[in-house]
Amino acid sequence: MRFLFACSFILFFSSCREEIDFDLNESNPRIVVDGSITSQNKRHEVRITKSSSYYNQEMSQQISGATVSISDQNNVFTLTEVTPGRYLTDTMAGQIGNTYTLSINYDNQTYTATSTLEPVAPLDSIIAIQLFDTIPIINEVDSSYSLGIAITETPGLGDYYLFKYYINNQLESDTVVEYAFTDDTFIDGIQFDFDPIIPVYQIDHRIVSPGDLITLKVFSISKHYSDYLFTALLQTEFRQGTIFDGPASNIYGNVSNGALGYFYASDVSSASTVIE
Amino acid sequence: MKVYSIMKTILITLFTVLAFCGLSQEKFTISGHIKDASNGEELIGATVRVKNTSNGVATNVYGFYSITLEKGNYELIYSFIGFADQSISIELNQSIKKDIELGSAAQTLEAIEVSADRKDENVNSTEMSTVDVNIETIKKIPALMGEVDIIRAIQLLPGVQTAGEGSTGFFVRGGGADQNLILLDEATVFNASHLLGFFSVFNQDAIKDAKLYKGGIPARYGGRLSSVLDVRMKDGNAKRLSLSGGIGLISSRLTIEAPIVKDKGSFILSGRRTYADLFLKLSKNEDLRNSQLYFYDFNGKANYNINENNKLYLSGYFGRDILSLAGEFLMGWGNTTLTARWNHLFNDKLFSNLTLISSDFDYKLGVPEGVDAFEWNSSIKNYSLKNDYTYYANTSNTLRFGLQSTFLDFNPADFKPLDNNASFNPLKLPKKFALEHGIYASNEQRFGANLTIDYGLRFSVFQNLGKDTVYNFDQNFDTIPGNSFTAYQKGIYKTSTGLEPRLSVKYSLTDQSSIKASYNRMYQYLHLANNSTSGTPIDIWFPSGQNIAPRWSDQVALGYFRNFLNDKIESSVEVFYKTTENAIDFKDNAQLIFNRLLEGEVRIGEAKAYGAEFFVRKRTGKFTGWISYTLSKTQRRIEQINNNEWYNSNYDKPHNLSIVATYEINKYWNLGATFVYTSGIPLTAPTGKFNYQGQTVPIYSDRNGARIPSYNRADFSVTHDPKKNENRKWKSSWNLSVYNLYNQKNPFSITFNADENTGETTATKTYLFAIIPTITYNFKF
Repeated sequence: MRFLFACSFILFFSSCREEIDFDLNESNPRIVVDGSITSQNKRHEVRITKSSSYYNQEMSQQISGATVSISDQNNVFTLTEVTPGRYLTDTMAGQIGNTYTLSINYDNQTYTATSTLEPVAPLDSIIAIQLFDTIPIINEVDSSYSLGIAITETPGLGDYYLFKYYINNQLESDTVVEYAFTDDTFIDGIQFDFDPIIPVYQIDHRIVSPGDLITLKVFSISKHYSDYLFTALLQTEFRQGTIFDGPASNIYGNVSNGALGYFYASDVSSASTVIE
Repeated sequence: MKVYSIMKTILITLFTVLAFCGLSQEKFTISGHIKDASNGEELIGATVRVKNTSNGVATNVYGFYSITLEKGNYELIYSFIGFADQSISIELNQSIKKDIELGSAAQTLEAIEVSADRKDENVNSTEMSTVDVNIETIKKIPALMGEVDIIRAIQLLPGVQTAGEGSTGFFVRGGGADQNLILLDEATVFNASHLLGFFSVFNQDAIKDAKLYKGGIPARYGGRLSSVLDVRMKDGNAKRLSLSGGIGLISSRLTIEAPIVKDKGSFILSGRRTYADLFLKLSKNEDLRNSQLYFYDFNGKANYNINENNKLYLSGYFGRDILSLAGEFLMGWGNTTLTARWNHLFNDKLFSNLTLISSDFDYKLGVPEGVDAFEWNSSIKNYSLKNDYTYYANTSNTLRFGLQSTFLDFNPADFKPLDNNASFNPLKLPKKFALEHGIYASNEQRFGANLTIDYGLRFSVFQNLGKDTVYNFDQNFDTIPGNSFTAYQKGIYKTSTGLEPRLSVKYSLTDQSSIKASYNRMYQYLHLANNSTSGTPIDIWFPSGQNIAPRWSDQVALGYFRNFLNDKIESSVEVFYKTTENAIDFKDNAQLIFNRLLEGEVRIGEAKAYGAEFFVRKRTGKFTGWISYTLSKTQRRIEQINNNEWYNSNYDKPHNLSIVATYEINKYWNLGATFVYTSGIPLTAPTGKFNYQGQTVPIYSDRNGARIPSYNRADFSVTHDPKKNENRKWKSSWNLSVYNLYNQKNPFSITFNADENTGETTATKTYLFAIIPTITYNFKF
């Protein structure tokens, strides 16, 4: 009987996967931009790399020797290459309402991207509460810290948020797959407090200890950048070969002249708490 | 108004033709119903032929026929595949009613005379590009998990492609899944899938007959571009109480049929339920015990003969799929249809049918408890009134005309938090309402012994109704700032129309061969947003309107039909070419769910499909079966997709071969086998990759530019009817089916993923089914 039930469930919920050889065509390498400017007073960073053929197993190749600048209506900030492919501004803060243009000159080609720095709803405070959870089906008990927020979402549709968290000032959620981001379709104008706790992040108990400082930052992002992050996941993590997959397609950033990647400007608000 | 003047013209023309046809003199009509002698079921498509002439007629979907001949002596031959012919001699000097009951060939084995008459519907009917699917034939074919399925059988026929391994989604001559008009007793079935597409909603015990029109679609059908699947439910045994059913590995079925008044009326009730999840109750794990995954459905139908000129039918379907994970997440979806019909004979030449239909498809998702509790509903409903007439004017003219009006109610999404403390807002996308009308007339006219032309015209009208909110988009598909939407008050705010000519021509070359040609134009005013590859229930239907124009398609088909060996073997070759204007697709990474700006995700363009279909079939004898091969191509060119270049449609499979064979060893043992080979489906393959903030993202060039490896599979079945059946009423049989006999790991999809930790990129194939043996016990009483 157990075998039968197992069979029927396997039939509908899982399928079998195996690695295969599949020949692919190759396209010319393109430059990939990862840059931002925020309202924080610091050195803002732009990274430039190169795309590769699909089966290439080496790390992305850095692009050195590009001329990089960020400008607004009045100023031009020139970036300096500190390590290969990593370009930094001098210490400065982006201003709310300004539109920033990134400009890259490399190999006789110019690539540009623009983004407007929109205000973000201020983060009032955060809380980290330890929760014990039973994982369904396998019945294992696990614990994690839920990171709850107190914030008042700006009334009116069309706000987009990106959250990142830091443990002892070290960025912990540092890849797209770990990011928490949302639009306000379902939360427009809602005042969040800690009752109930709406966890923005669940932090595994194994990576924090009592006394650790947890910082959460909220970034204002554009609809376009929010779509970019979502489609980056849609086209990778969410495509597992099942009947639920949508069509495969490129993801579209905001850099001109055929370059890949994204440049965004955002306002930042942060709050901290200590693990008890 | 233009719409009404066109309708008026059609009606006037029609009645002029009718008046003209009525002028014939000294002619009399023989009419009646043809039924199955064993249970009183009306036979669809049974033929009546006048011996030694080329005159003949087939019964309509209610088993009714009418043939008008000059005064004289005739011999009429009544026949139907699988039944023994019956011939009667008549002296025709007045109009007469003649109801005929045919006995099945097996039951009256000794009585069968080897008739010299032709079983030549293949060659002789004007219809082309159609496929008749008889439920008894399908039952002999191996079935996936023992569930005999009409749609799965259709997928083995020329011109029909599957959506994917095991899926009951289908694509006809390059048309999308939303371009099939699926009718169950005339009610539209919006989603014909159970269990994420692995089974269809059609229960084998409740279905009498199904017919698929791929081209030359008659004027009486409209509303979809590519095909019509017209499924008819059984009427119920009019002779005696009978019970039938089956017990299989994943489901059981039970059907009860009985006369209401013997030979005057009967009913059928049929139900089935899958019970894979009942085994979950035996689990020690509480979460599994509280999980569910099943579907059930009911079919019911009753009919009653008031008198020889009036007959009533009432039929309905109700089906539901339930998925629940540990009681924490619930999902349910299903169709409901209800059809009430009144057959009325004005006289022995004019048959009419009045139908009232309601049909709806809905799905519900939700979390039932906790602060995150929510409920999400979506549905499409329609209510329709339909009136069809057939006028059997004389042996040279059969006129069909009628009209239909439908009210449509779309509820794209209604999302509600259930907890007072919920930290999210409700979201309700505006409901949409529309009216769809069709009026048609056609005439099947014979010119001499060899040429028959069926010509017709359908005029369709689609009207958007307020209250409605329509978003305004600019050329970049963004809402126009300051003028983002227009609000419409109650009433019709937009009307679209379509003129749809239909034509079929048959020219007989010899007694055993003919050439046929057809042309049809079809309009479609409803569109489906569903981005997944196969039958997931999250369907969003949306109407044409201010932003989305109606789609229309033109199809021409040409065919050569030839029978061999005294009509024992039928064969045909057809070529077709189809174009679609205002074809739609969705932009890259389209967001279809909870999107009030859904229409901004749609991109418009054109589509084309062409191909050749080869078909050889043997329908009688111990050894039966068919070979079907389709060579075809289907492509689209859509604004802003694939750099505005042509690309292969998702279901373009150039080669498609099916072989189906059944063999009756003796009265007790039957064998069935199928073999399928198709090209792999198109694939968008990466030409590179890049890294963005830890995510390895593929770079694509051509949409659907590559192809996954080809598909092949063989199935096998044995059916055993024990000897003891002969001496008792309770008849049982065992069926063993093996799906994917040689355990071929056919790729369902190929995905390109990067390893989370190492970043290593590989290609991975997913396959759904290995070899699946199933055993089913069937009974009949």
